Formats: sequence, structure tokens, C-alpha cells
Amino acid sequence: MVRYIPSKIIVDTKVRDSLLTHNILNNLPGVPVEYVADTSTAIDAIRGRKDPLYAGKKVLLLTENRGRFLKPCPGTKEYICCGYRILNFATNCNLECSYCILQSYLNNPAMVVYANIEDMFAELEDELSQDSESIYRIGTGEFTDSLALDHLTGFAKLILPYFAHKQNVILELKTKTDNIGNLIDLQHNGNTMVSWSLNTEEVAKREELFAPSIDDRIEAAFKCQNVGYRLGFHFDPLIYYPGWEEGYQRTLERLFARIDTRNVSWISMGGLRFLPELKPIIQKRFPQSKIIYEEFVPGMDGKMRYFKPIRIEMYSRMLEWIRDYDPKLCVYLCMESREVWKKVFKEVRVENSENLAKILDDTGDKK
Amino acid sequence: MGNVEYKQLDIKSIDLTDTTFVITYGFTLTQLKKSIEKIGILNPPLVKKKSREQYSIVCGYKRLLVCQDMGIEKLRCAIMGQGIEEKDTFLTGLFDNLSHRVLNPVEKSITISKLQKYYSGEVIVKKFLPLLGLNPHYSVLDRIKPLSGLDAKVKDAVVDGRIDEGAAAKLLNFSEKDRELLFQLLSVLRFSKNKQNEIIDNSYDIAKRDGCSISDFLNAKGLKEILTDSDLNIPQKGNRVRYFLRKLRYPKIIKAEKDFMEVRRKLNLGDTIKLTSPPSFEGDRYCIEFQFENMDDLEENLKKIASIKHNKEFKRIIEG
Repeated sequence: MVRYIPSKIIVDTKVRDSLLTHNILNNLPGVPVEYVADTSTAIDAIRGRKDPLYAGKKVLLLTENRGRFLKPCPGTKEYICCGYRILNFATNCNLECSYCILQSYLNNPAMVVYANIEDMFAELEDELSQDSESIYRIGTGEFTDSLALDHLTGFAKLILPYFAHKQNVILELKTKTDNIGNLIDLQHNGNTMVSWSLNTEEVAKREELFAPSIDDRIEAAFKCQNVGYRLGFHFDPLIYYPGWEEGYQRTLERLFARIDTRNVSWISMGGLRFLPELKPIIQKRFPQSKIIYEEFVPGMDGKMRYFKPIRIEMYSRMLEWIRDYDPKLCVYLCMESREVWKKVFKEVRVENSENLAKILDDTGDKK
Repeated sequence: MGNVEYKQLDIKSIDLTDTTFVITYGFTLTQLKKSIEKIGILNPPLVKKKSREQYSIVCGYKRLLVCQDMGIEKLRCAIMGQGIEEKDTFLTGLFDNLSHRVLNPVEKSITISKLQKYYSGEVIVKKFLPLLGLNPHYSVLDRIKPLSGLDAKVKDAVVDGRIDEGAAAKLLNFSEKDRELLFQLLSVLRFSKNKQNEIIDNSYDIAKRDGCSISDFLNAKGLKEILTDSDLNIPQKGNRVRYFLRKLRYPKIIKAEKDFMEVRRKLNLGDTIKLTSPPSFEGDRYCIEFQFENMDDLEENLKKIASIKHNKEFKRIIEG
């Protein structure tokens, strides 16, 4: 995989002395740097470009997060949510996945790193001490790929040792990359798990343009397994296309040829879903992509989703194939209705978001 | 605008094919001709010298066309001072137009295309879209900009309001042949704006999904039969064409709808009880609604409703 290198770095003067800013500038010695007191002009300039989403990915903007770093996952009440919390240290992603929801979600097209991590640690310290009984499942991969910029930021080297000493935290790093260099020698004390978004090799090639191949992702997972990390895998988005069955079976076969199911905390599944505004963006930016031409209906949360029987069919088959490798593996659905859960799992195991959160808290806590 | 000189010019010296500063599209000259015949030209056209003996038109394009048509050879014109930049000359023509009329969508598109020569997308969005009566969003720019590149008859249909500007812009995503077919279909069936967009979107999606051209399915037997069926009026044909395309686009959803309707029919609920499925079958809430006149009527309806739970086919639909 080609590691991300921006064409330009814009540094908000408010974070010029931050540790993360120093890390990034030291790791990118030849890249032009511009210091600005007000980032809005720079952001507006990117918005004015012909393909602002593409142009934005070439600009790395180091700024401050003026809001909270830790937020609940923006799940909607209409579907069952796993209830994890997002640690928002960066936004946007360079992997150019055609279906990426960030294309219609983010206002700022630049690659953003919130460099005021001193504030982040202060907030975490305050938050985690408030309820020492609860398990905090925290992820960094909602608005960015958790590891795509790690060779520049060194963020993992800061956050993993911090969480390693916490009693009530499970940090999940979600990625599609093989950018795990910083993770290998880190002390994590079982509090950090690394998870990969997986798909079929066909989907990876056609729709995840700058992401590593499925084999490379599995190989990275294998290396993390060898140094004691718990693992997770997310088949999200599941893509329905002619030949999907063979494709996903092949991925599972390759996955479990390298990964011991005993090291896997959970596997999630979620069918492709997107805000209606994303469709014209995909049509314009990825004209070769056909994934939006399947049968979608408006979901109860306003997002377009595969027609329910298609989702149930895909989840049920996937579950059956996963169970063939290990019937005890924790498998869950991301943002699905109670009805779909029931039809896929044939039992009322999960009735609501609280049930699911409890199951994942318990599963993740088995170090 | 600088100093303006007024001069009697030979109409032949004004290059009416040079539309560098012209944004006018979709007009008739009948009324203007009547006016000029009666009272002449009150405001002289504004031109700019482009070479020793030639002028470009800046304002008054229609007036000049009428004069040409009327065989007028010489006309008093206002000549812009030299040294005024092309950009400012264009803006003079634009503001003159905006001062006394609302531009049609094609003219807005022409304006945007021409502004692109002088301004960034950001400036056009922020400064000029509001002047054109449009919201300052890139999505609006993207929707309006392509219109000027459409075939003349589609542009005319946009100006006349026969085709939605958004639907028209989407036609540019098709080959010339497919565009022609779709335009014919929309023209013949006189769909509302929303339905025009639905027809175009579904056609586009089917073609992309199946890797075929629009003509492959628009020329299909089923569709031709609908269009040539003399027993159907235009709205009926329109509805059937929409259904034909929806069935191609969403075969599983249409089948589920059909199955549900069939099961509902077999439940013999009569006219007073209305059973509806969740929208797109996405939620899990079905709805029963009925009206009654008296207690007997109520009891009768409740009996019918109670019988539903024993129906195996309905249970299959509900429970999967």
C-alpha cells in the first residue's frame, strides 16, 4: 500500500506547538507548510476546486477540535446501534472508497487532524473517571480510517499506552490499511483491539481504490494477532452483486486460514447504506461503480438501504458461513432493525441497542 | 462603462454571429418588431469595436435582429470606450439584462458558462448565483451549468417549461441517440417534473446496471405496445410506462408489492377495510384502517380482521 503523503500542510497557528503537529512536520520534511490564523479561507479555496473532495485529500489540515473529542456514535433510534463512542481525532480519509459516506457527510473536504491532543487527553481523563464501573468501547474509525495517517501522526504511540493503564476501556482501531508499523511494539495491555473492514477481493479492487488488497489486510491482522492484539472484522458495507456469495466465502476462507477465531472479539455485518445525496456524488466521482444501481429503499433513518429481503439473505448466508468456522464467534449487525436481527439469528438475542452494547462490552472485556 | 460615443453605424458592421457578450436565448421577436415598427428604437444598442470595421454586440441583440429583419441598414448605436476589459464588457451586458428581466434557465446556464472564463467556481457560486436568483450552492451550479450544452429542442423545451431543468441537465449523461429517445418519450407523455426525473433516473440506472443502452429497453416490445395502444389516453400510457421502468429497475420490490396485493386480495376484506404494508416494506408495522356505520358493521369488520391471523400466506409475508 502506498502511504499517504499530502501535497500541502496547512497548520492552524493555534496548534503550531502541539506534539502531533511536530510529529507530522518531522515526518513530512519536503512538503510545503502554510501557517494560518483562520482556516476558513483555506477550506473555502478547496471547496472552490473542480473536484473539491479529491483536491481536499491532498491537503493535510492541522487544526484544533473546538468541540468534544469523545462523542456517542451517531446511530439512529430506528435501528439497533452497538453504542460505542467515537474518539474524533481526525476526519476524512485518503482511501477513496466509492461508497464512502464521508463524501456527503463532511463539510470540510481537507484531511483534518485535530492536533490539540493535550485537550483530548484532559477530556478523556475527566470522562473516564466519571463512571469507573462502565465499560467504554471507544473507536477512532468513524470519521476517518484509524490508521491511514498513523505513519505521519504517530497517534497510536500516544493513545495506546494511555489506554493500556485504564481499567474500563476497549479501544477499537478500525482500518482498511496495513499501516500497523507503530502498533507492533506497543504496550496495550489487551485494552486495544485492531479491526479490519473486509470485503470481497472484487469489491476491494473496484470500489476501494487506494486501500490494500484483502490479502494484505489479513496479513496485517495476522501480524497484530502474533503480538497479542484482539481482533475484529467488519463486513461493512456488504455489497450485493452477481457472484457475492463466492466472493465473501473466499474472503472468509482466506481470513480464517490466517486468523485463529479465538483471537477474534467480534465480526460485524452491515449492508451498503447511504444518504440519498451520496448517489450523485458516486455517479460523478466513480462513474465505473455499479453498486448504487441495486435495489435500495429509503430506510427509517432516511438512508438508502438494500431492500430488506436482500439484506436478510446476505446476513443469513454470511452468518452460516462464519458459523462453519466457529459457531461461538460473536457476530452482530450494524444499524439493523429488531425484525432483521430476529430473522437472521432466528432467536430474540438482541432486542435493542442496550442489549447489543452489553454483549459487546462483555465480549470485548474477555482479554 | 467608460466614455460612450454615439454613432450611426451600418448594421453590416455589427457582427451578429459574435455572441461573446450575448446571453439571450429562447425569444420571439414578434412584439418587439411591432414596437419598433411603431415607435422606432428608443434605446440604441450598445456595441464594442472588435476590429477596424467590425463591432461586437453588448446590449440590444434582439433589437438588432429585428432591424436586420426589417431591412434597416443604418442605426444609431452606443459604442463602448476602448480599453474596457472583456470581463467588464460582459458584465455590462449581463447587468443590463438583469435590470429589466428575469433570465430563463438556459440563459442562466449560458451566463454561468461565460462567467467561468473570468471567475472561479467559488466566486460564481457566492457572488453570481444569487444575482441570477439562484441559491449559492455548488449543487445548483452543477445542475444549471450543463443546460447550455443541450440540443436546441431540449433547450427550447426547458424555456417553455415543458421539461424540468434538472431533468434536462441529466439528459446530457446519455448518448445522443438515447437522449433523443428519452426526450421523445417525455415530450409525448407530458409527465410532471417529478415523473420526468423518475423516468430519466430509472432509465439511467437500468442502463448502468445492465451495461446496455436506453434504446435496448425503450424499444422493447412491452413498451412499444403501451405507446401504440390506442385505447389508452396519455396519463394511462404515462402510468404504464412508469410501471414498466420501475419493474425493470426494482424487480424484487415490485414482486413483493405484487405478492402483497395478491394476498390482500385473497383476504377478501372488502372495500371498507384498508390493509397497508410499511413503506417499501422497510419497517415492521402494517396498518389496518376501516370505517363503519353501526355496531353490526363494526362487528362484521372485526370478524374479517380476526380472520387474517389464520391466513398462512399473510403470515408468510409478515413473518418471512
